[in-house]
Amino acid sequence: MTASVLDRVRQIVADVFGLALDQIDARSSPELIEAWESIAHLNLVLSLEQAFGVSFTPDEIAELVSVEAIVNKVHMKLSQAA
Amino acid sequence: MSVEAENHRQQIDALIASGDASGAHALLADLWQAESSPALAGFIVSRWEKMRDQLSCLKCKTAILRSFTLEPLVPMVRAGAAAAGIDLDVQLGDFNAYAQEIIDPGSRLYRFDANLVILAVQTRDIAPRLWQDFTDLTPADVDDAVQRVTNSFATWIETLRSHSQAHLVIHSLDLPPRFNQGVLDTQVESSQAWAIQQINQQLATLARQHTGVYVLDYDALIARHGRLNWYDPQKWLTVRLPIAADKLIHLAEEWLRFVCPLTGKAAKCLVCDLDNTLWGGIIGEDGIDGIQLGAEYPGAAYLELQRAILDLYQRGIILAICSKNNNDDAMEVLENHPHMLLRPHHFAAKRIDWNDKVRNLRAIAAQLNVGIDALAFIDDNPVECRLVRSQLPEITVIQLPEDPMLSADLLRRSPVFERLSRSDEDRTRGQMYAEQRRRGELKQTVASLEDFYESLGMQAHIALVTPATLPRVAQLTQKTNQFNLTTRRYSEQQIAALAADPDWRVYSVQVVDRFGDNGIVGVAITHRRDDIVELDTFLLSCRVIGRTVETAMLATIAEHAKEAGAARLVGSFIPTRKNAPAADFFKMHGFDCTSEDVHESTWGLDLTRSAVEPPPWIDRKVSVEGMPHDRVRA
Repeated sequence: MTASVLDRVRQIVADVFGLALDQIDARSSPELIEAWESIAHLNLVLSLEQAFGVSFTPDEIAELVSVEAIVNKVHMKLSQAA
Repeated sequence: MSVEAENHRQQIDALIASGDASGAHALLADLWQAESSPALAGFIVSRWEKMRDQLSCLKCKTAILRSFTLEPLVPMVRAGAAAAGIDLDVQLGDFNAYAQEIIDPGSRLYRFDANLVILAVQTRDIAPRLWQDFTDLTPADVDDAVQRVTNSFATWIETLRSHSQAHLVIHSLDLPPRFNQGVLDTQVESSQAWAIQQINQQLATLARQHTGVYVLDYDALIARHGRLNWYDPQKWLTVRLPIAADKLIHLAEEWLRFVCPLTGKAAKCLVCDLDNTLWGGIIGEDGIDGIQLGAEYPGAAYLELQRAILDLYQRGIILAICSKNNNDDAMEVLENHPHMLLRPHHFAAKRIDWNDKVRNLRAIAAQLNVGIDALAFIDDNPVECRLVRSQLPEITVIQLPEDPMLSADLLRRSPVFERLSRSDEDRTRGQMYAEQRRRGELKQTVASLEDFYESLGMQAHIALVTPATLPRVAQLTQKTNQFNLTTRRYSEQQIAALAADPDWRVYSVQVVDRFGDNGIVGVAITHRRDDIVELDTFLLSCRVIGRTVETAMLATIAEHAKEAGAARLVGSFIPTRKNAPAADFFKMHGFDCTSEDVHESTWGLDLTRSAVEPPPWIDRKVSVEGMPHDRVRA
């Protein structure tokens, strides 16, 4: 694992929505990415859970509303697990 | 996310932009094999959609009927299919609406006209009392529940079959991770486990009674990956997705085990590398005493892979070797190493030299008379794998992992060796290829071709298809590419339907000669319209091409047509990239060409004036005992 959490999350978001990596930054959110609707959000959550080996509660899933929010939540989860 | 994977993505996009679709597809397959994740599925599918029109890919329309959330699986199964060169069009049924969709003849399901229907149900939806209220049930209630669920499956199968010719794959029911009555469950009759297993056994029986109906052992899939880890209770309670995020890929891969054989993505031959594949180390450097192979670590890992390869051989996969080595060094191991499971007689072709592997793989395909796309290639060297993928994109490349202890499982996971029915031919194919080598040796010792035919002592058993020969006949229509006049593919249920129609005849031809039984090697399907008999399908396995078996088949068909009062025997030749060996068939047998363009030529023979002369060196045994004209069961 050489890339930072931010870079990994950006790549996952880009992959899930079929976009290029440089189209995604920390501010990317459902308002800015048209494909980011509810089923796609579920795909994104599952992708994050699989990639980082974490599990989000229903409340947490509702809060994952931007790349930045995801990165913060993943950091929190990983430090809890450590 | 490694830097290499990111570069991979950029390279794929660059190749798509430059119009090199097959190069892009090779990298895409590489990437998916290295990392089959839910996120990557999105990338794979979005890029696949940009390249698929420029690739010659197999197509499969799959309808998934389900009782739970499966939306996240759709990109994953499509990505896996895309990596295998299959364009999978998926229609997901409405949530928990599977029963209505099966029963309503006007439903979205039937309008979709699927090739494959997957019925994905789970115990807690279809038999909730057996899943959660089990401790309330009396033995009579349990029997009742088992009977009710089994009857439902029977009804759905019959109903679906009456509206659709699609293949049907049904999930078996899962056992709960913990039994409601704890360890007591295993001690009593009419237990929770027993009840669910009863349903699964009866489901398997139902599937065997119908052509084209198969069971996906969902319970075994869950057990394989760990029952408690498979489920995600939070996702189930919130979004009705019962499966944990990191387990989704396994269900997608399990579906592909059915998609691959049903679409014809099937390898007939496994070509093996030697050094660091069949054994550890390099024979040219380490010598026969220095390589790793044996019952103990580390040699045991290689023995496990050999065992997996031997299983494939027993299942009818032809084996071959393609290795960069000195032939004598390698043969010494194959012949004399005490721990080798695979011996020279298991391999139908060997290329052990210093030529490049792409060239040798082409030569192996030519020698075995199979298409390049019928090869799978296993090698530990990533550079060789990359080269073969890019130069021969039709080949299935299986790149071994760095840890040899994971190799056997990787091979066993590959979907291209999956088959959904087993013919007798599959069991003895390895042996038949050995006999073929000896026939080739005979050909070199006899003078004229006629002498050669005579010396073979051929018998052709020409018969109408029966339930016993149905799987092989369907298999031949699906797999035969070279000597095939029209290349029409039929499923078992379609063949059964044709055989039951009095206007149609489905012939099988089995050839026996002095070297052994070649099995069923030819299929012809005729369609009678007024005083014309049309050859809908006429094909011959490459195993017997060049032995005039086709003339014996055609002579019999012409005789039957004439006996039935037909005045003309007609047929067409539809050229493909592969069927040139059949191009002169009609001309050679005295047919007149009635029309011709690039897509098709049509031919006719006036049966009132001409006949087809049967070859004198083939002893024809003709039987017209056919299929019973009621419901056909394979």
